[in-house]
Amino acid sequence: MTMVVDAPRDAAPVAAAVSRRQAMLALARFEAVRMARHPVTVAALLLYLGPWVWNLARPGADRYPVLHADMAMLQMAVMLVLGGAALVVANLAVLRERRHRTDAVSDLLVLPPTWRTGAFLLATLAPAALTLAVFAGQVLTLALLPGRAGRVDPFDVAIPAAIVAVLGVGGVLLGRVIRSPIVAPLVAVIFAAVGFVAVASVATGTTWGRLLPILPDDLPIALPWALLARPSGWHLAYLVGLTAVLVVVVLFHAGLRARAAVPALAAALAVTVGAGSVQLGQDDEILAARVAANDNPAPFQTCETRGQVTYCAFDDFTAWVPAWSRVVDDVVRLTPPGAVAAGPPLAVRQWVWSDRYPTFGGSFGPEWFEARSRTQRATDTAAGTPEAIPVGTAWGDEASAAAFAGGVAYRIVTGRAVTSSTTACGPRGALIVWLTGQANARTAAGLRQLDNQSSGALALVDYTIDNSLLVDDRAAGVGLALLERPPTEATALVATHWAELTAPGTTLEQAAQLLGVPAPPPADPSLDSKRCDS
Amino acid sequence: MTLATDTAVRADGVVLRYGRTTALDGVSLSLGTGVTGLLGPNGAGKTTLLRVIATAVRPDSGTVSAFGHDALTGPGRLAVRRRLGYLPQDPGFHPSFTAFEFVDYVAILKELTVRSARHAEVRRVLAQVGLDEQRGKRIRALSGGMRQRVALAAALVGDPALLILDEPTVGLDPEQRMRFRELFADLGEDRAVLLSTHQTEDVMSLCRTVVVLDEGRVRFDGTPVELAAQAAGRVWTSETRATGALASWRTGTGSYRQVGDPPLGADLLEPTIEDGYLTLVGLRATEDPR
Repeated sequence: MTMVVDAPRDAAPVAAAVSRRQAMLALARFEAVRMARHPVTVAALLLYLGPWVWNLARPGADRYPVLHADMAMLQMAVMLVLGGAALVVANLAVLRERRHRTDAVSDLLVLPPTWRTGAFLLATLAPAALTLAVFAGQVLTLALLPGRAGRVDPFDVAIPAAIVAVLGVGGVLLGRVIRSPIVAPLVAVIFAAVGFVAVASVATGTTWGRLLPILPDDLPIALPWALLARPSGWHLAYLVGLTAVLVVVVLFHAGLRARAAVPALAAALAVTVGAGSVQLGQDDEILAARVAANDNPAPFQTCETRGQVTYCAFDDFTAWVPAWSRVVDDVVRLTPPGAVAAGPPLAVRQWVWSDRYPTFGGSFGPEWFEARSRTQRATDTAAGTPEAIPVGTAWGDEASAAAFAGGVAYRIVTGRAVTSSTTACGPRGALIVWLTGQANARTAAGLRQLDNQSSGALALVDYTIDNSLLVDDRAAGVGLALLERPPTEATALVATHWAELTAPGTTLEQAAQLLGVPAPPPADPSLDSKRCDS
Repeated sequence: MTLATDTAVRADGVVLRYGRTTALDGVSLSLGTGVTGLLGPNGAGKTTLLRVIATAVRPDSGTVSAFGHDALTGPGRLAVRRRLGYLPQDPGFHPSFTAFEFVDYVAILKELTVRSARHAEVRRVLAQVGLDEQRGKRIRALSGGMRQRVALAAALVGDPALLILDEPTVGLDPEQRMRFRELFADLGEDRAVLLSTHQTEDVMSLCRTVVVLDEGRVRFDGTPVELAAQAAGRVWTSETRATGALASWRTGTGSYRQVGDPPLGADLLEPTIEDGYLTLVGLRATEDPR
């Protein structure tokens, strides 16, 4: 056929001769804004930040964070919530054309698939940057609290953003390989499950869990900075390498030429494998330091004197001294003049269970407790703070305050420090419980918590140290009954009868009579053999 | 806007098979400035031909060039796509996008990267299709006609020199069809527009040339008047239905308008473009297009 035709104008686009790179960046910006504003992202941010803000802002909130420990703990939430959201949102963005059947048009548009995929990959920086901003804000907020302990490792600040970047790029890869939006949420769930297993595995001494995006701590308690074995820098390098590997795989799948992809993949793999391997190693120096600090924390600590009391804390925990001091003062205030004079000058020493921590429970024989007690007393004596009141690396919650107040009360009442598995009975036990509950509102609330959690004996326990104070139920019952009486009356009664109540020969029945509370139930003969330290 | 020095689009001997089915069987055509109508029954190969010209599908044999570029090579395909606006038969939408965002997204993929200029262009095309006030509305909230206009705006963004429209007025009410017709007429003044349609009145009122495709082959290529002339002497009216007519229907006056071989002494009528099309394609043309 033939046809007479006119020659149409050779129209150029509005912005002529623009580079593909610019188009990719423009598309990346467009997608980044959509990813950041996506309902899943917004919901994830609310889900992630809401509980954290509430825990920080609610009445009676914990205002004594251990920065490095809190940052490590938040990583799991970042991976589960923000990382999961990035995975899903990036995946949905890649699948959008197919899901909405717009590919008939978009396939004919100028920007080639490799560059479009590059834009999606760049766009995942948006949730990563958002995560960095949010996480940095969280860290800054915690760091501004007067009671913060610990330190901030810049690598640990960057790791959450890298976690989100890895999962975001993973979402792009899934979208390229599997054209179903169902897969990404399933992968997010699998990551969640594996994340919990990884945390558990690291706590058992193996380190393979560090191959996940998160870098879990190897102990479930806050350790001082000097005892920390977190290869954060290597882990960040591992995440960067892993992201680069995924990026190259995605781009290769989208059409990147092999001559560019292969060297890039080799370099990325080298970084990933190298950094990933290094982070799996154990730091022997740190492990040795943990053993040393477990038996003798003094070399790692700074001491200061407030009033008549010496406080020794790990260098990055000294901000907690004023709070400890307030509890000591609150307990001392309830005792009659001269009561504190019994025994050596008051001292408080921070301990941490940094060696052989029973992560999944465990039992220790009496010999072990005896040995630990001897070690602790010898350490305190050698450090010039004999019979120092122990305190751990947990603070800010009510139970920790009560456990510490119990230790202070035990020290004042008995003249000795709580060591491993100390048991208080009789009037002294009752007095310790009353002093703990009467000291201040937080110790009172903590005492109620610990009482509800205890069975057989009231356990005033801080799980970050291997010192524990148990008050048998009969004595605890008298102490708790005294707490029901008006504070002024009870305080006066205690002051009046302090000498009898702390005398070794006074029975619990006599103490109850002196304090005007119901007599305790008869003693259980089966518990008569129980060791009683007071 | 600059003028090209040669034909906008030329296809020669294009053959495309899907398995044993020959969708295009040696199709040749040329397009220049103005609206070219593409008529044909279902399965004639119209959409396939549009997709070949739009560089979405590579033919098994034959050549396709546009604006002097070989559309079957990588660089040529890219050159064609830089000048192409394509509105498919059933365009998809991202329902959560606003009209502006959707067209802006397409504009980015067309490599319009200077943000301010791109946004100005998006506003221009949305105004051109009459969606200026609805540009901030999410597509899920727009009516079917408005969505079709969004799709057209997306095709128009970047001021393409070649516009391929695959049944753009299907499902539109008469007023919207009239608006589209006006718009296509304007667009055809300075660019090549290839319009696939079942609406012969659109072809009559809009198209400078018309191509009839049937069973993968070009059956006619000429002006609408020439297409109508294909039925000259083959359209008549009578009081009764003629059994041998290609098509026969009772008109509002009560008489039958019939296309086919008229009996001697029949009362002949002036043929329309539809009559010419029926004459060319026969009974297949009367099948339900959808």
